Amino acid sequence: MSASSAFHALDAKAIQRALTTTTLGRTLHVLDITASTNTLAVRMAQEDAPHGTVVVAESQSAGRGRLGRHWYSPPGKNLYCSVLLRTPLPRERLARWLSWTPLIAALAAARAISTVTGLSPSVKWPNDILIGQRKVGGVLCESGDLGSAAPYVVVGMGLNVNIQAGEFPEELREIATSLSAEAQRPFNRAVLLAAILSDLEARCDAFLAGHEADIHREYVVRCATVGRQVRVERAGADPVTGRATSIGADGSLKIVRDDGSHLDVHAGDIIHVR
Amino acid sequence: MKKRAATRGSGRKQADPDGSTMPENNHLDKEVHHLVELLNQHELTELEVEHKGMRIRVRRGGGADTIPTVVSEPGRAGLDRKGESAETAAQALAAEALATVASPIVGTFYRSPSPDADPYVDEGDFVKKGQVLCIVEAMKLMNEIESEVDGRVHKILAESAKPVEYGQPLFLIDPTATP
Repeated sequence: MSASSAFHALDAKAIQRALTTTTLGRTLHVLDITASTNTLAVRMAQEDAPHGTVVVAESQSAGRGRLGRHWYSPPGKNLYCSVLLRTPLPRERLARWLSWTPLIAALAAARAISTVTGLSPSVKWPNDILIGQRKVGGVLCESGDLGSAAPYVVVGMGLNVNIQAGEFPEELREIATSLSAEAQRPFNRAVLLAAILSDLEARCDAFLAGHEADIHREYVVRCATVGRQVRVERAGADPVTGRATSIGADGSLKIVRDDGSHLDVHAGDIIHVR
Repeated sequence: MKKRAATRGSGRKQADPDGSTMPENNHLDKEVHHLVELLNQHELTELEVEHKGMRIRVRRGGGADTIPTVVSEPGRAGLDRKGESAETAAQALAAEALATVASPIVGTFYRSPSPDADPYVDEGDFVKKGQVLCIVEAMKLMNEIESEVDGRVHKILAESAKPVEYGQPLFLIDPTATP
């Protein structure tokens, strides 16, 4: 990829040319600015947008992460996208699918980044994408229509692509990085998005076809949290420290506390203790 | 003359093994009326049916008046509840008519979209089918849990920001209430 193409504005034609998927991104909305691609994609889901619909924006005025936290979303440099997955699923398989979707999304993003950039990102449980110890991307998923025959999950991703290290706000400089800061060159966002969608589609198809064990194995290999000493911060509970030992079949993080007792974490903030 | 008839486990009236099925209110009303009719028609003193984990017993008092007593109880516990007043029984019936909203996933229950935002709903609020009641978070997936019926939020059974289990009841919605 040439450096000149790296700075092109996102445009639907360039993304579509790069796509190799069957469904993901085949309905595509490219916007200059929106409040949050997830908010928009959720609204589209509620208005029966098709499976695979992708919303991508140059900038978000109210980009957000977990529990309404702000996601820094300057224009023209990074990737902010949301993918609508609408999967007909028997009810007894719904819980497993819901708990794995965010992990699959992070796995797919990490793999695609690796392919496109040659960098080696890892995943911090459940779905932060790291290069070294710094965050290069995050995933926020939102589901709905859970009582219906075809519940939806909106997979939102924010990836720091071409932003320079010095452009991050002060409070993020120590904890955030970008692909171009790490590789010392810019990347074409259309190509990167197409690669992520391709990997995401393949991993979702595999998971839904029953290859959960393969996805589990791939995730554990990518996951920087397993084997680490961690602190777990959960809403309404005291922090817990211990060693992350494995990933449960339901995607939970298994912790052995310092006192030897066991804990399965399904939601919370994980801090890698150095 | 004292006659007693009991039907149990015949045809589609088979007991549900886990006793979890919530009968619909209309269906229950019809069933009770039907039983009362049978009771009167055949001059029985007591009639009991068991259906989907719920037992309904209608009984006539000693006098000339016919006072059906309806006892509904989920599961098999409490076989002898003949002393129940009609009022208690009516309350029990009302409780059975509530719709339960259960967690589809293991995770953390949140009553609002972010810590400083207003709750989606409070007890006593009227909700529409499809209206978001809460979020259950697992693995940073925010699962919006929607009401499957129109009705009034009768009770909120879980505490915000606390863990919930798969299938744990979160809300009771009264589908018979109208604004």
